[in-house]
Formats: sequence, structure tokens, C-alpha cells
Amino acid sequence: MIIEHIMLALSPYMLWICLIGVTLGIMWGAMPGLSTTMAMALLIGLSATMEQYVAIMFMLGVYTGSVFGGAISAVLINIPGTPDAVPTMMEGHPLALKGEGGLALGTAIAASFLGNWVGILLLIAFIPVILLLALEFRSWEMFLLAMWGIAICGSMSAGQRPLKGWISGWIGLIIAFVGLDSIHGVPRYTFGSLILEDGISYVPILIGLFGLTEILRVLPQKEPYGIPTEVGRVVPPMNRLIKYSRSAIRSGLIGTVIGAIPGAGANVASFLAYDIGRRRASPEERAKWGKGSYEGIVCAEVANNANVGGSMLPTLTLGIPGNAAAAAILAALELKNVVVGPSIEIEHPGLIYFIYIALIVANFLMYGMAIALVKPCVKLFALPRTLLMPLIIPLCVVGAFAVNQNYVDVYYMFAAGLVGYVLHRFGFPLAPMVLAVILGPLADENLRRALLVFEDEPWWSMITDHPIGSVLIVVVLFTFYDGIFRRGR
Amino acid sequence: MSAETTPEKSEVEALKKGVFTGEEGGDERATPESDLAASIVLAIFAILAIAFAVGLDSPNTIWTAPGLFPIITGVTLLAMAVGLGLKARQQGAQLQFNKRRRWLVTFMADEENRRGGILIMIIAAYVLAVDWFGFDWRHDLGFMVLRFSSYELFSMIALTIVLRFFWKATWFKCGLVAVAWALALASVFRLGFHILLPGSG
Repeated sequence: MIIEHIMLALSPYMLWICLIGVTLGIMWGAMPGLSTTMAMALLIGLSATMEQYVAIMFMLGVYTGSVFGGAISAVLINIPGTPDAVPTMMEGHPLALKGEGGLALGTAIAASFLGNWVGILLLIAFIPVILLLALEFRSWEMFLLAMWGIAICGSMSAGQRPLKGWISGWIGLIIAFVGLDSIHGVPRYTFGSLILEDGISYVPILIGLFGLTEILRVLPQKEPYGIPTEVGRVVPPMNRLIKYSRSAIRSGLIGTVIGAIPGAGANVASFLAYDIGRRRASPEERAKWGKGSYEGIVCAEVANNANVGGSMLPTLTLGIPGNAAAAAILAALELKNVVVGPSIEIEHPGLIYFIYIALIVANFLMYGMAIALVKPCVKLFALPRTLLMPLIIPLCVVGAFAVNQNYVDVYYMFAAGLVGYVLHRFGFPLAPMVLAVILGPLADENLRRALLVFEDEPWWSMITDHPIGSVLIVVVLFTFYDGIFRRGR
Repeated sequence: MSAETTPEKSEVEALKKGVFTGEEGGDERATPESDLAASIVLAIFAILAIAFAVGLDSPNTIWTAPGLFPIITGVTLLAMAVGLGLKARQQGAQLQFNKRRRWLVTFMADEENRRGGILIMIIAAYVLAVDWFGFDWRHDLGFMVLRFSSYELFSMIALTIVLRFFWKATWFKCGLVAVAWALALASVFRLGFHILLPGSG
């Protein structure tokens, strides 16, 4: 079974699909204003009619490609293609102005390749451990885990104002309650509407929040025109990676761990790795940071690419997406009736191995295509954002519609886009809301099941008989404590 | 030569200072006044959520009641909204009707906000038109069936208007891009991925 899945991932057709995904991903990520999450959200609709393995291969290719793609515009036009490329922009663009753009991009490519490897290897190493632990989870633990996922996502998304992240998550929970409740079939928040009884699918919400909101946010801005810097020959310098190997490995670990924390994605990973890298750099190297440091590029790019593997860890083992892009993969998997979580190995034997190989294949293709696509991407920058962004509007409509073939989903997508735009203007993050819409039904059902089990038992059995649950209670409480009394101060 | 946009600038500043801005940041966009206004809206939303949840049927014990978790969520959301409001008040926010009116005038005077409002209206009209005036025209050529639905038509119209407004090219150029894109998208989805398009019935 394992060999079959590995061979399937390595078949010429799958390699071709992955190549298309990686190419699209790099070009998408390179375009300023078009984020990885937006690409992933729009792809859910496209993957609706794809065969299960094709959809997974395609989406992982786009995911891997787009995370790197942001570095190209960051170095060449001083505008990060994706938000996680800001540190790369700070270090890469000054190098490009000195005529070292090719070398800076080459360093970014090599660092991304290494970062992906770190993420994939740690994913392979930790999945069996987490799966073993996850099999011990009962309703109480699943409820606490879902709530921790929403809470930590709120904390990690909102930075200094975790309260705003939690509020966003709690709004998402209320959206998730809409429809017939899963235990008794009682309609909740439906106001007598039969359409609402079906509940609100999170796919249009995802497309609305990360597709339409982005358009509404970016398109009305005054166009910042950037003139691409001369790129020169793109050479991935492996010797430079060896020179900065300590920083690279440290950043890879940071990226993977951050990726595994729900809500903390490539942005947090690259910012954190960059900040730690700067503090740990030697005095002569530190003097270059901010003015064009190759070590800075290595730290940021290794971390944001290692994040890809890290984000897949909780997604596959617990069904809790590591970030918004992973939430899109989760949605695509669910469309194919693949239920991820502790029983993934039992219900879908071999699938995890397919995903490992897909990530490895995507990484190799990313390395090759990144070198080949840098110059064509420079031509893409000549296209103004005001021309590109409107073209995504019909994609949002068809993406939301395609999943259930129901136009109501287009209205949900539009409403989510508006809500996302308003929340963004008021400084609320959007990822916790998406996570809560996904995890809300899981939390609700498991809480009520757990309470039913505890009904005939003394209250302290909740703590004494559930050691994992007790640990999770402490973790949840600490997350709120940290947000309220430390960062929220 | 280079250009920088405002969000990136704030991120660069935060990074230079080593301040944790989170995955999405957002601090730079909010003011104490906007936080106070948001807290009031959120408190009303939370109270409504609690009120509707309290009224739900409970076929079995309270532990499996469908309204249990929504009530808990509503109450905690209300507490968070109050917390946000108190924090905003601590930072000196005050809600005065006259000021709010001025705020609205200032908001609308900003070109970016006006452009955003117009974009929302165009997209709303587009979404409604595809649904309300849905049609699916088919013409059998023998070797293939030509199809044209309300999705293609209204995508062309909406895109032309949005492109003209934001891209500022000539109507002809905008129309040409819109027609080419709408037809390309429809062909890829319909023929390539066999996905039914909105408005196709």
C-alpha cells in the first residue's frame, strides 16, 4: 500500500500536475497583493472535480511554489509578493540595488529548498508520535484541543492585541452554529429559513475572507509602481548556505514549530527567525543586516518554507489546520471525503506517504522552476495590480459556487468578503474566524458528548481520569493568561 | 528605484524594533475610537446571539442542549467586547454623536474609502445580476456545444466597469480584456474541469 502510493506520487502524470501547480504557485506568489492563502482558497473550487490525489498534488505544488514566489518581487521591486517575504525584501532589495539581485535570489531559492527539507523531515519524524498521542483523545480532549486551536490562532494572528484575535474566532464560532445541530437536529440561528438549515459551508467563507477581502483591501489603494531591478544570473550558492548552516537549521526548526501552531503561519515564522537571526549574528555580520545581508535572507526564507511542512502536522494528525493555507487543503480533502485526524492512517492507509512524496517532489520542482521563472516573473511585474486584481473577482464567484453548485454559497462568499473587509479596517485578524468556522462543529459536538459522559461522574473525574485533558486545560488557560496579562497589557 | 506601500512600511518598522505584530498585524489600522465603536456593535451581536440561543428547544438534558455552547460563546464574546470597550476608554476614546458624524464625513472624503465603496457596489450588483437574470444559451455545432450563460455576460460587464474605473485604460481595452478573461475562465472551468458555472441552471 505504501509503495503503491509512493509510486503513484512519482508517476509522470502526477509530476506534470505538480509542475503546473508549482509554476502557478511561484507566479502567483511573485505578484504583489496575491497571497498564498488567496491562491489556496480559490483552488478549492477548482479541485472540486479533480481526482483526490490529483487535487492534493496540485494544491501542495501551489502551496510550495507560492511561499517562495513572494521573494522574487521582494528582491527585485522592493514589494513583497506575499507578506512573509518582508524580511527578504529588507535584505534582498539593497543587494539587488548593488547589482547582486541574482545572487540574492539564488540564496533565497537555496534557502527555500533547504527550508522545505527541514519542514518535510520534521513532519515525517513527528507524524507517528502525534498520531499515537492523538488516538488517546476522547470527546473532552477534542473539545479542548479545538478551543485551544482557536485561542492560540487568535493570539498569534493579532500580535499585540490578542483580544481582537479571540473576538474574531468567537464570531466564527457563532457562524459555525448556524444550521441544524448535529445531535438533536434542532435549527440554530436559522430564523425559519430552510436554506440556513444546511449550515454555512466554510469554503465560501474562506474564499470571501481571503479572496474578496483582499481585492476590496488592495484594489482601491493607490498603485505603487515598482521598477524591476536588473536581475543578472540567478545562482543558488550552496556554499553560502553552508556558511550560514547554523542560522539555517535554527530557522528551519523555528519555521516548522511555528507552522505546527494553529494560526501562526509563514509571516510569524519568517519574522521570528529573522529577528532571532539578527540577535545571534556575529558583530561584523550584524552590521550588514538591514543594508543587504545574505544571512537575513537565509533566516527568513528557510523559516517560511519550513512552515509548509510544519503546518501539515496538526492538519493531518488532528484535523486542526496549522494556518489558513492549510485550512484550504483541509477543505479540499474533506470535499474528497478524506477525514483527516487521528484515524487517518486507518481510514486512508498510504495517504500520508503520498503527501510526504508530494511535498518532496514539489520541493525539487520548486528549486528548478524558481531558477527558470525569475526572468519571466520580472515581465509579469510590468502588469499593474489594477489590471490583475479585478480578474480575480469572477474566480471568487465560480470558486464559491463550484463546491456545492449552489448560488447561496456565492452570497455567503460576498457577505464574508464584506465582513472581512470591515473587520480588517477595524484591525481584527481573519484567520481565527476561518479556523473557528471549521472547528466550531467539532468543538460543539464534543463538548456536549463529554458533558453527557461526565453527567453521572463526580466533577473531579474530569481532571483525574483525563490527564491529557488536564494538560490541555492548563495550556488553554495559559494561552488566555499570556494574551491578557502579558501581551495584551 | 523602488516603491513602498504603507502596510509593508509598518511591518518593516515593527521588524526593525523586534516587535511581535502577529500573522496579520492590524494594530496600525485601529484607533481607540474605532475599537470603542466595534465593542458596542460586538456587544449587541453577542446579546442577540445569547437571546436566540436561550430560546432554543432542549429535547434532552441541559448537557446536550443545542443552545448550551452558543450561550457560553455569546457570554464570553460579550465579556470580550466589554474588555475591548474598557481598553478603548482607558486609551481616551469617547463616543460623541457629532464627532461620529464628522468621522463619517472624513471617512467618505478619503479617496481610497470612496473607491472601496464603489467597488463593493459593483461587485454586489454583479453577484445579484448573475443570479436574478440567470440564463444558459446553448448552440449545438455538431462537434461541440457552444454555451453562454449569465456568468459570462455579467462577468464581462462587471469586469469592464471595474477595469475602466481602476486600471483607467480605454473602454475598448477594458472590454477586450474582460471578454477574453470571462471566456477563458468559462472554457477552463466548463471544458477543462467540467465544473458547472453559476447561472447555468
